[in-house]
This record gives sequence, structure tokens and C-alpha cells, in this order.
Amino acid sequence: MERIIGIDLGTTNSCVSIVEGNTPIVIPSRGGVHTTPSVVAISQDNKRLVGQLAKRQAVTNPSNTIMAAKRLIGRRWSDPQLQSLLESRGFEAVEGHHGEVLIKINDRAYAMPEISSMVLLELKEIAEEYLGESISKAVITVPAYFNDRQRQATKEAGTLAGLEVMRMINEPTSAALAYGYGKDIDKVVAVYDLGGGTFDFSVLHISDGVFEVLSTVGDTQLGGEDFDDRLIMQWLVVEFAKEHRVDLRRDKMAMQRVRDAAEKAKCELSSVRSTEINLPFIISTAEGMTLHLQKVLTRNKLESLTEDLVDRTIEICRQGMKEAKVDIDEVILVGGMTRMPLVQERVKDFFKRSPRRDVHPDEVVSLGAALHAASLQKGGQDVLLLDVTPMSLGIMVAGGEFNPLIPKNTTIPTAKSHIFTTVRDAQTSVRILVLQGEHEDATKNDLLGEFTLSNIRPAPQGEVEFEVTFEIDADGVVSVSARNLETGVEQAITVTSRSGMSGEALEKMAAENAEHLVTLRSRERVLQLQQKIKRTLDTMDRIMPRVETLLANNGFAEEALIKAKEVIERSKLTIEGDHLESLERDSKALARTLNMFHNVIEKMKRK
Amino acid sequence: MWFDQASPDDLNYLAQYGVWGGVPAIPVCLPGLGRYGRYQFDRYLLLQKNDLTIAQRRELVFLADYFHKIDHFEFFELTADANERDIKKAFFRFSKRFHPDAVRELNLGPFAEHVRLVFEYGQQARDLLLDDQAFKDAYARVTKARDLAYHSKLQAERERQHQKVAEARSKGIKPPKSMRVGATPTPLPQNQRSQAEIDERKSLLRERLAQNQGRRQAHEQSKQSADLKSQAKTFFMAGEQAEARGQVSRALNHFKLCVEYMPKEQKYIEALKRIEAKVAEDRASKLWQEADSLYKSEDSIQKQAALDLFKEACALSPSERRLVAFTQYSLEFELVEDLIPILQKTQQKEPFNIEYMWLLCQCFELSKSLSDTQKYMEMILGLDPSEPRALRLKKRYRF
Ligand SMILES: Nc1ncnc2c1ncn2[C@@H]1O[C@H](COP(=O)(O)OP(=O)(O)OP(=O)(O)O)[C@@H](O)[C@H]1O
Ligand SMILES: [Mg+2]
Repeated sequence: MERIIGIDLGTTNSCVSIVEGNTPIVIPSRGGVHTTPSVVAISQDNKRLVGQLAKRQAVTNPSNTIMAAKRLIGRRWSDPQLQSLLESRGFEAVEGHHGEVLIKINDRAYAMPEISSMVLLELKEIAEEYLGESISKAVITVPAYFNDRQRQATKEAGTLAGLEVMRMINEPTSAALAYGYGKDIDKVVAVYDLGGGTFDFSVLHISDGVFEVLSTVGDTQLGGEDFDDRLIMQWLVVEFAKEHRVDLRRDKMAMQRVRDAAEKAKCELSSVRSTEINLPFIISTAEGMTLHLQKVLTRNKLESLTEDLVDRTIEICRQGMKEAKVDIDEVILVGGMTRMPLVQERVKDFFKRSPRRDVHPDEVVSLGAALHAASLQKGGQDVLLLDVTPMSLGIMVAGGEFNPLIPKNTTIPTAKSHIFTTVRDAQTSVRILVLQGEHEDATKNDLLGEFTLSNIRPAPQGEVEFEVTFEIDADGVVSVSARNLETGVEQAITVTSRSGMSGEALEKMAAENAEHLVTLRSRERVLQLQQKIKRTLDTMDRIMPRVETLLANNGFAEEALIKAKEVIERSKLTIEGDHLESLERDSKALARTLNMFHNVIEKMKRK
Repeated sequence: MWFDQASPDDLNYLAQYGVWGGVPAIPVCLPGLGRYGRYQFDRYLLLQKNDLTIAQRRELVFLADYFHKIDHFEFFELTADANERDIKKAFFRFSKRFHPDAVRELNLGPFAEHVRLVFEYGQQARDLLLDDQAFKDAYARVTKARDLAYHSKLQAERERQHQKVAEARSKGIKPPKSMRVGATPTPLPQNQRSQAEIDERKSLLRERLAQNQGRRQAHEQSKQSADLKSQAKTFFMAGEQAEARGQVSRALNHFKLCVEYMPKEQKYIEALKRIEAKVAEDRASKLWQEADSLYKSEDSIQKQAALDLFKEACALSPSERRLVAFTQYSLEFELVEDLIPILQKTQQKEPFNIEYMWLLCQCFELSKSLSDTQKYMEMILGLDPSEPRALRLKKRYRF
């Protein structure tokens, strides 16, 4: 039978594994090392360099070298975080026709999946050389908090590299799989994965070879690279400018050397208390004088520069523990950054137990992928993953609200359906906007795709009904369909990486489509609104005393307060009945009032 | 009917989730499954499908039975008093059987869809059982009513029988055996052994149990070691094959596993050593090549990078040719601190090789430690009194 490899496609380092006999092993690269840097370089004559070779020449060739492609894969040009990601990178990025990110090298534009596919191809070749046979199937890991678009793009990269991606599994899940495989345990395990570019935190229940994910949280923009950035932007560059009045940032080559040195220093400080950064001939001044960078960095300094990043990971862990609703038995640390003493210390303090030391932080993810590959071939007899979707999925309903159909942390594969109706009389088409995220306001979430059901019989509002069905397959990839319950006509999309937007563009589009949305059936809508108003009223009750004391002795506020109270009293009456329009009106009025209260509290706090 | 006794509110509530209170005699086609209700799943039709293999057919019949399970607890083979842990465990057992991954290799074709539906239904059932106390309470009340109804029915039946028997007796007829129900059971035999005797037997039993356990452990250990042995052997063979085919790093991994399983077997250790040397040599030569090409460039940064690679290669697998070249490059850059330990180590391994001594002489000369220079010079002259380079050195410094 053809063998399936397991690949950890990392931000900084990638790793490929296979199961031999019953033992998962890492396949060493040609140089005998276990991990391959995820670096790609394109030479003047369009030849590719990948891995160690590409990394080595980065200093001399920064504008044609692409590092950390994973931070950009599946992102849109309109992504608010994008520009800060591109800053301090040597290469040139442009916007593609579909709003995607392209990288321009030697007058040719490369899409992000293409870049990642070069790394995958290298790993595939390493495996082929090692096994002496050709490989065409793989299990690839992705950060648990990757959204649908990033997953799709990763899959595309696999296809471009000539690999059939049998399954994409989440990195922390994969690590837990490698950790729990072959052990006869019944435990709740937390996985803290801080890598080069992403942070993931998952809680799993492992029992009898079943790995059930209880919760998954994370941040796809938090990793070792941010620690390096802190060192460079907030310390090295600043100090250098102070000393020599020269801005290092204007020289790409110098920045690349600084970046290398900063990372090296950071790693060294995990085992020693102070180290020296020494970069001779780093830059020359306008007068032609060459300058050297020579600095001593202590562990304390590094920690004070990056402490808040570590704290952010702990905050995310707290959220994850809350969602998992259980106590844990073990913590395992994954990812190179967890070698940093401060990280280990904070993790230990937060979980009140020492993390386990018997997992290899760089290799465990790919070992898990290989194990999963083997178990897919054997039919899940010895291990079974019950993974969850990290983000809620749903559609936009009238009023710009987000109506989640599949809540986050639902076990996949799964399917859910719900019935909606038209928003206005004689509506002849409906538009289904598919979104992913946690925000109540639909435009704050991420649009995955959209489609239209047309040729609807003109009828009074609420008469024609549609069943919208969401499905998430075992890879975490989403497909959506909508069916006109009157005619049985069905429309479906598999969400692709090309579509999608967020923020302003989405708002604009929502406004254009307001007439064509769907809404909940009126009975459900009434229930929903009643609950919502009740919730808001509860919050109001809680903060009312504070607002009152804050606004006392303020003649102008007196009036506002009286009006607010009127609204509250009226809403209390409205929720007793089920008149849809008054419910809608009061729900909006209440939301505005609550917002005002929050503003007041904020303002007073600042004073 | 029994459900006359259950509260209609409860029944209505449960019906919304597809629990009709259980009428086991009539197979229901998954009521209340909403959109899954569309999927008719007829067991007999399946049996007639000839184009399926036996394994597939067995699987599908098994599945069909699941479609006929009529309530959520039954679905997981649980009773109404199951706690959270039981439910979770039961769901795990269920998933191992029905997760789409678990039935993949059975290749169920279009029927794979059904497996997915069963799995999804299982998920919904689990969520309901775990999170919804109202559901659980209603279920418990209804099943209690059902059991009560069942018991009172039995009771009534029994009383009728008794009456009949009594009637027959009063008429002087001996009732047939089949009608004699509910006879008083014979009491269990009394235990007449003394406490002391019981204790003795208990301790004896315990002893035997312990013996047995010991034996079993010994047996398992020997089985394990036999397992390890045979595993190691297969790995060794695979390793040798890989070596013959020139897949060095694969062979290395195999031999490593051999030694891990059988750490005392000399043959394996030797093989591992051999292959390790080979890997080091391979890697060194690759590094060397890379370094060579870097060194040719004019850029001094690249040259320095090359120096690092040279060093790595020499440390991995020192050979005379490499060390000579590396020393020469290092002397050019006047960077010899890293080089000296490598040279010394190699020299100790081959104490009669004049070439290494000479390299060391040069390095020490550069780093201005003349006493060391002199030491190695004298060692050279001790081996070969007419070595011209050493003589020249001697003259120069007037040692
Ligand atoms: N000893 C060390 N001390 C501190 N940081 C380290 C150490 N070793 C490696 N790192 C950092 O760990 C990061 C790389 O970790 P890793 O290889 O696990 O990430 P990755 O798998 O490539 O990324 P991701 O999982 O986010 O996609 C780098 O930022 C590196 O600087
Ligand atoms: Mg990683």
C-alpha cells in the first residue's frame, strides 16, 4: 500500500514524518537534520532554493527570500493586519486580481500557496529519497485557529506540490495524538503550542485511544517572530539610532542580519543569562563611515520587552479553560518558543503544575500527523480524533446580525440546518452571506462566501421558507447549501479561498444586499428578541447604580437618564407580548442606551 | 396503554426530540430525526443487495439496527441513570464504531452517507444527554411511568393466574404445571462453614492468585522480550537492505531502533557505529561541497559563513585532506581557536601522523604560543629528524 507522510508545515521550520512498523519517526533531511527551515529563495535566473540553503543566503539576498510565508497564506490584501506583517520584510508584495496577496520577484508574481508548495515539495522529496519510493499522499497540520480560507489555501499548496492532502489536522491535536499514542490513559490534557508565527491552545480528553477536543482557542498572529520584532523594533533599532543617529531600517540587508542576530540571541538567552550581539560593518553613514553594532542583551531585558506577549498567551489559555469547563491533568508544551524560561514559568504558575518534559517541541506535531495518516489507512482502529471547529459559522440575517448555525467547539464532521424566511413582501431572490467569527454584528466577522437563490414566488413576507444547511467535513472545510422549501430548488457552494472579505468592504456589500437577506421565522425571531432584551435588561440592572452615582449632580445627564429609564420600563412591558415590530424597535433602543451607559462609564473612568 | 400514566407534558416534550416513549415491538424509522427522516433504511432491502461483500452487508445491517433504535439512551446502550462519565465513555465507544474515519476502509460507497448521519445523530444525542437536564428529568419520569405500567401489568397477569389455579384447586382439579407461576422460591443453601475455615480458604485463594499473577507477569515479560528481539531483527534486516541500496539515513534510523530494543547485542552496535561513521562522512562531504562553493565567492561575509561550514564538516569527519585545507583557510582569516581542539583530538587518534603535528605547529605559531609550537616541532623531529619544514621553523625561532 502506498505510504502517507505526515507534514508539519511550520512558520519557521517544517518537519516530515512517517510510521515505520508501529513507531512514528522523523525523516531526516539530506543534511541529517530533522527540521527544514520554511524559507524559499528565488535566484536571478528564477531558480529556487528551499530550506537550509535558502536560509543561509538570506543575508545576502533579502529581497528575493521569503520567510514565514505561513503568516501570509490565505490572507486578503484588505486584511487590517496585513500591512504590519509586511513591514520589515525584504520582499515586495502586491495585490492580486481577487484581492489576494502576491509576492513579486524578478517580474513574476507568486501566490502564497505557490510559495508554501515549494517547501512542501522539498519535504516530499526528502521523504521520497529516504523511503526510496514515490509519495503522493500526505496529512498536513495547520494551526487550530486557522480560518476556512487559510485551510483552503494550505490544501491548495499541497495540491500544487503534487500531494493529495488526505486530511488536515490541527497542530495541537496532532501533538496530543503523538503524546497519547500507545499510552493507556484516561486524562484531560492541555496543549500549549507557541511556534514561530502562531499560538494555539487546546484542551483534549484522551481515553481508550479516542482524542476528543474539548476547546480550541488561539491567535494566528502571535509567535516567535513577534518576540524577534520586539527585540528589533523596540530595542536594537532604537538604541542604534540613539547612538549613531542612523536608521537601520532603511537597509534591507542590514535588517536581515539584525533579524538573524536577534533570533539567535533570543534562543541563546533560554540557556544563559546574557549574551552579546555583535554585527561588524552593519551599515555605512552618508559620509561613508562604516558602523558596527555591538550590544549586550540580558535575559531580564528580553523578558521586559516581551512579557506582555507571554501574558497574552496566558489570557488566551484562560479563555480556553473556560470553554472546556473541566480541570486538566497534564500540560504539554509544543513549539520552539516554549523553550523560553519565562514562558515555562508563566505556564507553570497559571496551571499550577509543571509541564511535561517528555515531548519534543519541534517534532511532536509532525509525528502526530504521521500517526494519523497511518490510522486513516488502518481505519481508525487504534486512534480516533474527535476534533472541533474553532470558530462559529453562520449567515447574516436582516438587520446585519450574525446568526450562528454551528457554534464554536462543535465536534466535526457535523451538519446543521435551520429554516429562514424572506424579509419583505414580494421578495423574489435571497442572498445568503456565509460568515465565520464570534461577533454579533455580522460585518465584524469574516465573509467566507455568498450565493443567491432566485425565482422565488412573490408572496407576503414570511411565507416562503428556506432551509439553510451547513456542513463541516473532517478537514474543517465548510460547505453550505440552501433549499427553497416550496419548490425544492437547491443551491450550494463549497467555500473557496478566492472569495471573502471583511471590514469595510463587507459593510458596503451588506448595505447593497439589505433588501435580499433572509430572516428567522417570526415565531423564532420573537423568542430570540425577547431573550436578547432580557439579557440587556439584566446587564442594565447591574450597571444602573454605578451610572446613577456617576451622573448625579449633572443637570444635562438628568434628562438622558430619565429617557433611558423610560426605554427600560417600556421594554419590560414589550417582552411580555409578542409583537414583532415593537420588539425590534425596543431591542434597538435598548442597545443604544446600553452603549451610551458604557461610554459614560469609560469617560468617567478616564477622568 | 402505559403512557396514560406518564404526564402528557413530558411526552410532548420528549416527542420533540424523537423519543416516543419506546414501543419496542414496532420498529420505528427514526422519528423526529428531522432532515434525517428522509433517509429510509430498510434492513431487508439491504440483505438483498447482491453487489455488496459480506463484510459490507454485515456492517450495513448493523447500521440499520441503529436506525431503529428509538431513543437517545438506547442509542448508546445506556440506562436513564447514567452519569456524565458513562455518557462520555459510551459516546467514545460509539465514535470508534461510527466516525467516518473508522469505517473508511470498509468502502461503503453511497452508504457512507448513512454512517455520517448516524454519527451526527449520535453527536446530537450526546449533547442532549450531557447538557439538557430538563430532557433527562422528563426522560427519567417517563421511563419510570413505563416501568411502573409494565410491572402493574405483570402483577395483574400473575394475580389472574393465581386466581385460576385457586379455582381449579377448589374444584379438585390439579392445575397443569405451566399455570403454576410465582411459586415461592426454595431458600438458598445456608453457609455452614466456620469463620476460621472461611478465612483459611480465603488466604489460600489469595496465595494462588498471587502465584498465578507472578507466572503471568513472567510469561508476559518473556513474551515482550521475544517481541523486542524479533522487532529488532526485522529492523536490522530492513536496515541492511537500506544500507545496500544506499539509503544511509534510513539505515541509520533502523539500526538505532535495533540498539534501542536490544542494547547489548554486539552485532547491532557495530552496525550502528559503522553507519554512523558513514552518515557523518556523507554529511561532512556535502557540507564541504557547499562550503567550497560559498568560499569561492568574493564576499567576506559569505567566506566567513563558509568557514563555519568547514568547521562543522571537520568536526563531523576529520580527514587529512580536509584538515589541511581548513587549516589553510583558517590561517588566512587568522581564526584558529576553533580549529586547535579539532586538530588536537585527531592528532591524539593518529599519534604518528606528522602532517597533523605540522598543522598544529602552524596554528600555535599564529596564536603566538611558542611553547606549544616548540612542543609539536620537537615531536616531529623526534619522528623524522630531517623533516625540512620543522627544521626551518627551528632555525627561524632559534629553539
Ligand atoms: N531555545 C530557544 N529559545 C527561545 N526561542 C526559541 C528557541 N528555539 C527556537 N525558538 C523559537 O521558536 C520559533 C520556532 O518554533 P517552531 O519551529 O516550533 O515554529 P513553527 O512550527 O515553525 O511555527 P508555527 O507552529 O507557528 O507555524 C522561532 O521563533 C524560534 O526563534
Ligand atoms: Mg509548529
